[in-house]
Amino acid sequence: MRYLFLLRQSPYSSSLAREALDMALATAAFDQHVQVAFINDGVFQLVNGQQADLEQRRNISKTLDALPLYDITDIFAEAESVQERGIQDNEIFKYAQIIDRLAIRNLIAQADKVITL
Amino acid sequence: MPESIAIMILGNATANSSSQTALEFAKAVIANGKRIERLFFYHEAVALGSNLTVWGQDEQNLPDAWQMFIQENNLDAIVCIASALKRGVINSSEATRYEKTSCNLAKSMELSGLGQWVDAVNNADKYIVFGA
Repeated sequence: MRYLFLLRQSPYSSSLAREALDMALATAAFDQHVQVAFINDGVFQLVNGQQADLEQRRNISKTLDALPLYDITDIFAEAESVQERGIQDNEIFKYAQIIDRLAIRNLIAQADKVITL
Repeated sequence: MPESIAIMILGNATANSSSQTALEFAKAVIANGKRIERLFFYHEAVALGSNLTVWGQDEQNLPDAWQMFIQENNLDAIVCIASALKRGVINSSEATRYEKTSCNLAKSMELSGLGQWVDAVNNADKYIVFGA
């Protein structure tokens, strides 16, 4: 099965961002083909140099770093969401590919299962 | 075999009406002769697994209503163990493991991992997520 996770929450406003990523990792651990696409405020999860430890929180980048270890290499960020938020392409998680909204739409069309929290 | 649906619930009983809507939906699934593959309580919805909630007499105790619905229809209901432990919903074996003094998970529900959701999505004809 080809799973696509649409990750759209900012990293620290609630635990949903982390729990959605955990779901993607768990799905990959059960031998499913997993793709992840960060859209809307979800792109804030990808910004490098976060210092969640200043608030005694777990840095979301630790979970992002686990993606390749679970063989999740299809990691996408929606270009429009990145630009709207004033984020530069070179500030983003190195394994993420920046693709436009139309390409995200194609990913959704091609996936067997699309999950968003 | 009737069509089967896997249902994920994310919201708790008090913050918004999502888990109420999810319960009404689940009841309608059964009433329409379809099958619930599995209920998976994740994120804040794990609080619906507590058997210690007390509500006023003029309103429905939503955690109790979920638990009764599950029991009456003999449904497979999983509460995500990682989400639950964080939020103080715990069964007797986990209470022993982490040396807690009490436990509160409803009898009709079970603590388990996300693999149970993946399995349900793979096996069900359809799946739906009720947001937080």
